[in-house]
This record gives sequence, C-alpha cells and structure tokens, in this order.
Amino acid sequence: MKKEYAIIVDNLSVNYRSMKSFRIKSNILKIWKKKDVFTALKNINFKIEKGSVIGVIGRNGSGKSTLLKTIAGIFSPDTGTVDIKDNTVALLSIGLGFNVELSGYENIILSGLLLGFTKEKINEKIDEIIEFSELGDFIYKPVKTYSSGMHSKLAFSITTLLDTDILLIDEVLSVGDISFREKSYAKIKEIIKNKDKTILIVSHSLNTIKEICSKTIWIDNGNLIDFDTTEKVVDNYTKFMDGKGVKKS
Amino acid sequence: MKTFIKNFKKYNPYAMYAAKSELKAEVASSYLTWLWWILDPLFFMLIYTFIVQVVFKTSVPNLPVFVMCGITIWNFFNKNLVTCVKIIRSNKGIISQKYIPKYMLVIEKIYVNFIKFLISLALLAVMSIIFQIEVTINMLYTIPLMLLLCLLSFALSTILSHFGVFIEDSANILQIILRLVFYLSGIFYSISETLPANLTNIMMRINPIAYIIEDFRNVFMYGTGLNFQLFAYWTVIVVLLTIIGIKLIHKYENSYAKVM
Repeated sequence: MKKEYAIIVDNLSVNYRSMKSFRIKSNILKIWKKKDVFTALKNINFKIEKGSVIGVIGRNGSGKSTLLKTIAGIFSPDTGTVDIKDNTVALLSIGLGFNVELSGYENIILSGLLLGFTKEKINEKIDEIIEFSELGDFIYKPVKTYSSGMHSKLAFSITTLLDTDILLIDEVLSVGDISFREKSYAKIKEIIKNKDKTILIVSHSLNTIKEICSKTIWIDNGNLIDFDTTEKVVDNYTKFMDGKGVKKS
Repeated sequence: MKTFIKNFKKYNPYAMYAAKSELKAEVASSYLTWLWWILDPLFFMLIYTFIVQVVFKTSVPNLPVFVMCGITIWNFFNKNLVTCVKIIRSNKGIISQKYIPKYMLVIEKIYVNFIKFLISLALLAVMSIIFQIEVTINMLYTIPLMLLLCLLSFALSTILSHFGVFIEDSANILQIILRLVFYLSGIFYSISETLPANLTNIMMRINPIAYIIEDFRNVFMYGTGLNFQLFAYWTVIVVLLTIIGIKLIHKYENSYAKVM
C-alpha cells in the first residue's frame, strides 16, 4: 500500500539570531565576534500522511510554534527542507491584521483578504461568520469597544473561512465563555472529520490531544523526542513531566 | 519579477482595503483629522512663504503656488520613507502569523499617503486658480512626473524597510538624511536660480526630488515641456532601484520574523 504524504520534513533546523537587530555602534565594536545563534529546531525529520490529525506537544519554548510557523512558510529553514507538495497551508491565527478602530464587520473583510480570500468569497461567507460569532449588532461597532471575550469570538469566527488542505492550529481551543468554547471545539472537530484535510494541533491540553489526534509529535528543546501513536507519546510525556515535577519539589 | 506581479495581484485587494480602513480609522479617531490633511500642507505653505518673503526677502512670482508644489511632492515622499523604515516592525503581528510579501505593506502605506497627496494636489489646483496660473497642455506632464515620484517612493521605501529590520538606528539616520535632502531639494527656493549652473546640473542628477520638484514647477507653473533627458535618466535609475528593492525583499523576507 502506498502512503500519500502531505508534509515531509527533512532534516529541518531553524535558528534564531539572538543579535536581534543591531545598533550600529555596538556592531562596529563587535564585528569580529561570532553571532550568537539559538537553535530552535534541530535536525527534525518526519512525514505526515494526508488526512491525518497530528498533535504536537512539548514544554514551553521547546519549538512547537516555530515548527508550525516553518511549515506555514513564515520562517525559512536554515537547513533541511519542508515539503508540503501542492497543498495549501494556513496557520490558524487569531485576530490577524485587526484594526481596533474599525467595526467587527470591516475587520472580517480585512482579515479575510489578508488570509488570501477574494472579496466575493468573503461576502458569501460573512453572514455565516457573523452568526457563528454570536456578536449580533455589536458587529457594526468598533472592535476597541469589545470585551476580550467578544474579541476572541470574532477572531475565532473568521477562521471558519479557512479552507486549506493543511491546517495548523496553535493553542486556540480556549476562547470565550464555556458555551462558545464548546462550539469552537465542535467546529474544529467538524473540520477534522473532513478526511482530505491534514491537521497539526499544538496544545497543552493532553485530553484534547488524546481525543482528536491519531498520532503525536513530542518536541523538547528543539529535538524531536518521539513521533508515534498518541497513546504512547502522551504516556511517555506524562511520565517525563512527572519526573521533572518530583525533582523540583 | 514574475513573482512580484503574481503577489501584487493576489494581495493588492488587501492593500487597498487596508489602506481604506486605515484612513477610515484615522478619520474616526478624532473630529478634525480629515481637516488636518488640508490644514497641514496649508500651514506649512504659509510658514515657508512667510520665511522666504520676510526673512530671505527674495520674491518669486506666485510664491504660495511655488511653495505648495514643493511641499506637496516633499510630503508624499517624506511620509512614505519615514513610515516604511519601521513598517516591518509595526506590522509584527501580521508578519509573525501569516506570509505576506513585505512590499505589499509598503504599497499599502503608499496608497494611504497617496490619498493625502491627492488632497494636497487639489489644494494646489485651487490655489493655482486663485493665482491665475495659466492653464497649458504641458500641465499633463505632471502625470509622468507623479508616476516617477510614486515609483521612486516605492523603490526607496522597500529598500529602507529591509534595512529597518536589521539596523535599529535606521530611523534616526534617515531623519538626518531626509533633513539634508529637504534643504537641498528646493522646496521653498528655486535651485536653478539660486545655484550656479554647473552645481544645478549636478544636483538634478544626484537628487531625484530636486529634479521632480523643478520639472513639476516648470510644466505646471511656467508651461514649459518636460526635460526628457533628465526624466529618462531618473526613470532608468528608479526602475533599477525598484528591482533591487524587490529582489532584496524576496531574498530576505522570511528571516524578518525571526529577527524580531
């Protein structure tokens, strides 16, 4: 049986230059010094089958978001390659390009255009988005008047537009009040049901991962520790984290 | 170049809408904003006119129109450069979440400033009616000059936006250079009448703004034709700069998000 892969990550490394941006003065003085490089991902290899739902776990700062951003094409790899074939990819991001002086309605269009949709497509979907957001008449008020809950509701609703082959989700399953959270969770699950879509989810909620992901990637300190069925990986990860906890106390 | 055209087509609706929303937001945030778009060039015109007439005691016929030509062009150019040197930083939120060709952010700003430029231009038109500037067919030459100005702003802004990411002092350095260019561009005096001929020639060839302002006045106020030789010269340079800017962005844009 031949497997069809949606994402092939080959020997991927991503570095952050901790020089950040330099000031001319300090740079003239330190020009001979070697640049400080922080490696966020080290030689990562994996292949993801088309249509699968993959969890990504790891401690804070272990490189999960960097991985997603590299797959989304926001970062360029320093070594190695990320091959996503001909698939379209989107990082599910919240509140992209919002201008808080404008109304929610205008922000939907703004964000949608930035995500690469045509005006027609957005107009077609906009009623659905507004309904999903539960904002009612507030949608015509400036976003700066929104409560933070309303803000996230609007932001999440826009992502229902997303219709790419590969969807990357970074910790967004906890927005709004409980009922909205359940609704958005259900929405994610609905997207996941679609067998053609390949999904990567970063989450700290192991329960979420267990429930929806078939396989899981565990990253620690930029290294790929494990990539296996969710059950095994989560088990190992829990043990590992417990070990850390004991040491501390 | 192909990628540029493809990207432009894909993201231009966003740039247009974002520019529109930015202007809208600016209007919404205070009562007088849109009025300021008119008052700002108007007051600066009055200040420079006052200085030239009272302090330097030189007199140029139709001085307010003369000064307004300079201010209109300078403001557009200046605003584009000043905002674009920080543009990658100020759009950090977008850049770290979604790939967008970075020069589209520059184009968005140029749209915003272009609207203000048009307002200033309208003001200039009104003034030229008041001062009874003779209408000639040569006034149409202002169009290629404005196109050159737009392309020049785009090219320099794009290049600056790249350096703005890596060099924190770019904005400070730019301020100083722009101040120098401001005084050397003949905003409130005529370069060709103030400087000796050979110096004027050099200035017209090293300072694009000086050239654009000079020729803009010639075709708009004095009804002469375009200086085709200089126009061709600057067009070639500006096109080259544009290509350099686009290439620079294509090559480095994916590392911007990492640096910030």
